[in-house]
Amino acid sequence: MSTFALVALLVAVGASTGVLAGLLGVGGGILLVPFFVLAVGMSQHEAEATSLLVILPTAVAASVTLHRREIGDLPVGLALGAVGALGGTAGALLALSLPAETLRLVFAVLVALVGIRLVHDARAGAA
Amino acid sequence: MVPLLVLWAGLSQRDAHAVSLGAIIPISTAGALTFGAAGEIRLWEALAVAAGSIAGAQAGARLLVRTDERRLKLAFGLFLLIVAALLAVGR
Repeated sequence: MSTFALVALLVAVGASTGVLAGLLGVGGGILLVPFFVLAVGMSQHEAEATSLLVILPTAVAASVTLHRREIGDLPVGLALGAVGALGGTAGALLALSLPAETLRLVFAVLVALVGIRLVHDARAGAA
Repeated sequence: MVPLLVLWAGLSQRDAHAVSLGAIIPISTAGALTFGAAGEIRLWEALAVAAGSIAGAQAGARLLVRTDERRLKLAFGLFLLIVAALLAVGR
């Protein structure tokens, strides 16, 4: 792939991930990490590291837009994140002590249960 | 993050998405600093993707403001189901 085509692909993937991140309130790492590994050829660590550097300005851009429109509560979010950053370290240590396969399956089941609940609520018309 | 804010803290889906984005800022800062110190970040690729994602995030956030609660819940629920499926098959 030419350099120009690669840059165009990276910007396009960034734009799609950004829209999803801004709309759904997620970082986008779940999409960026596999993309970096499978399409760009990064190692798992490089992919996670690089995605974090993308997620940071993405979250700032979306947060600024929402804060200006008075949606959500940015100070609460930042405080929650500060606690989360500390909790994340503890979580990472716990995760490291579990086999990767077990961790992945536990996480998949958890995510699926929450997804079913939200789709169910939406279908039931709950606001 | 978003499910906890909606199902436990009782936030609206829209506010939960916004608060979650705010929370991602310190979390990703801590992570990026840690990985950056280890020299794992591919800066060139990060800059190219971020150029797109910063513009995309503003568009996505404006879409979040306009989308009604029910559709947001449905979209987020479907997103989680897709993520769960990807995790279950090992990507």
